[in-house]
Amino acid sequence: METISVNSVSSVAQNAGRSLWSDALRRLRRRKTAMFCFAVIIVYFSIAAFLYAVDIFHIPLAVADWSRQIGPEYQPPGAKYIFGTDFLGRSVFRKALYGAKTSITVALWASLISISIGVPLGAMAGYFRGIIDQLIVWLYTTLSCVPYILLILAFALVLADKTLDVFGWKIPLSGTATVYLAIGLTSWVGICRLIRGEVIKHKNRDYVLAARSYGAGSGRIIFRHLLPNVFHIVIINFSLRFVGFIQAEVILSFLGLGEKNSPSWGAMIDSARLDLPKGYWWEMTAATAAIFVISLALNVFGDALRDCLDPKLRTE
Amino acid sequence: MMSDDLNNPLLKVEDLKTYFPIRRGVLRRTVGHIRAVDGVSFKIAPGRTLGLVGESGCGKTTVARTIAGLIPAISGSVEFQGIDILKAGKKQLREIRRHIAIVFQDPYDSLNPRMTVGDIIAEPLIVHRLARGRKLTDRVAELLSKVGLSQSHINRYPHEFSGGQRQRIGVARALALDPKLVICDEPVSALDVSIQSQIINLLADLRDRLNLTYLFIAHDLAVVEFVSDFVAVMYLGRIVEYATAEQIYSNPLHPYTKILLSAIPKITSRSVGRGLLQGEIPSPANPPGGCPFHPRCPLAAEGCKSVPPKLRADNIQNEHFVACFRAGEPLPNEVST
Repeated sequence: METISVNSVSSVAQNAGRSLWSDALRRLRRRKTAMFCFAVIIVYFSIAAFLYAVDIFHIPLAVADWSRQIGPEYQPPGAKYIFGTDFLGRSVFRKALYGAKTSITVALWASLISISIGVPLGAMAGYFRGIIDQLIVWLYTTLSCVPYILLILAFALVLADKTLDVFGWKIPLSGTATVYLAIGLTSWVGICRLIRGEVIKHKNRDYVLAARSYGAGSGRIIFRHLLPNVFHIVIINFSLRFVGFIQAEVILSFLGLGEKNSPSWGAMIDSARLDLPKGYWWEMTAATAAIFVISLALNVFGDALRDCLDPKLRTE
Repeated sequence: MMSDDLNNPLLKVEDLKTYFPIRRGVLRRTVGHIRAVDGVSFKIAPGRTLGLVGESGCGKTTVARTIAGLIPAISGSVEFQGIDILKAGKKQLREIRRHIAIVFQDPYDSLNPRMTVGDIIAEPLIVHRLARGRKLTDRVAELLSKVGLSQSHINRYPHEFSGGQRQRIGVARALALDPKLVICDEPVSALDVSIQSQIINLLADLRDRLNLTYLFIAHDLAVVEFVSDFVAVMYLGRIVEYATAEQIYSNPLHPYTKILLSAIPKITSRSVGRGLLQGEIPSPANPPGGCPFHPRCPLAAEGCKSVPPKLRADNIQNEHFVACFRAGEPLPNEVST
């Protein structure tokens, strides 16, 4: 009896077939370093999610209260104050945690915005070509002519403290929103260009011609055939780009254009800049270490992801 | 009998021309054309198979894709059941597309790697809203068994199959809409020799069972001989000889056909015409004047260089057409009989 049930289970598993996605995931799971980095990324995301939950449900937790003075100013790290205290006697540890929340919020929204601009525009340009292609290429070439940081700064300055009016629905732009809008609106060029190139490559392949030969429309070809075949590029690109978004947020906050009511790693570095000569090294160290760890984890994980999703590009 | 069928053909192609523009410079100005198909005419009677042969780059695939409506033509007409595909409206074209299917050359390129076999075969039916739910699954299973695959393959992905199996999936997809005409665009040239015969047998078998009409494209005359009723030989975008398969193989008239046939390996004797074909096929962007074959033709005379020969009926044999001024003359190393 037992053998029969085992057989039937294995035959079901065989019939299910392995998609390229599950194939890639299987390869990824075998890479220990990549999985460790993924765990680190998950920890950062969990911290951000946890702090959101604390804010929304008003959970009275000591850790969540970053603005409270917990001791004398400039206490070095030790048993009492994990990462030490800053110039107002606030916990550097709590500020670093909140910095993760700010950074991840910004990077996530910026990713979403630039994917939802870049992918449709790139797919349209590549698929329709002609005048649509020329317009889109003109638009992104123009945008990419402007030095990146200057462009973000310009967007951030224009958007700062504005109220967004969406069909009469007024959304005041917080510092964080300014930052992710500025990053998102300027960073779609890379993904747009990539997707355009990939779509051009795929659109004349036989499987797309086959779909056209039995009368599939443009929408079906783009969404059922082309996008599923280029989407791994989006994922690879953003696992690597995420670091850039976090860094952009840090730079903007450092320059004072970011969130002002909540800590961020950039603001921490900015305030620690003047403390460092006096020997108070811990705030700077905490912020840079936090950035370093997630940057490294994202880079290693992104590389592994690329190797697994796009075996042709494998580097090792 | 055959000629009666040809008076009421399923597909009638007349003077078809498909050019590709060559664009140069910053302004992408058109500086010339690749004459991929340069005045091709033929008919296929229902239930018959026309083999279309020629070297790589002679325009076979472009003929196929133009007929399937995938590439716009410059001029000419492609009549399917009396309706001109090139002039058909969007709705009409969609309807026609139900009846014309393609089997592609490369089974590694013609199946979407992100879709399951079931989804690939079902998509034509979904696009034309012909089946859904239980009915759709049943139809896909039926198609799979028709091409010799198992129903258990339905949820697998193309990369889990061999080349021959993939081509079977491609055939199943082509048959999904019960087409009348199937364009086989070199369906076996990407496969191992041991697999080729399986797929050809499958195609021949399906044609007889489902009463299909084939336009069978290949660069291998031996493959075409087996499946075709008629054979058209293409050279540089034009048909140079057209006859029944029997006639082409037993009594080729055009020097190009003779040389092509000599390339089929024979066990018994050294074939005539072997090694006579020199050089490369000329560029279709700048085809030679007169007969397109004259620069490579062992029989070329002065007249061949100026006037292009028309496809004309051979005096002796019925339904044998040839475009050559010196048709039927023996090749230099051929022992005349």
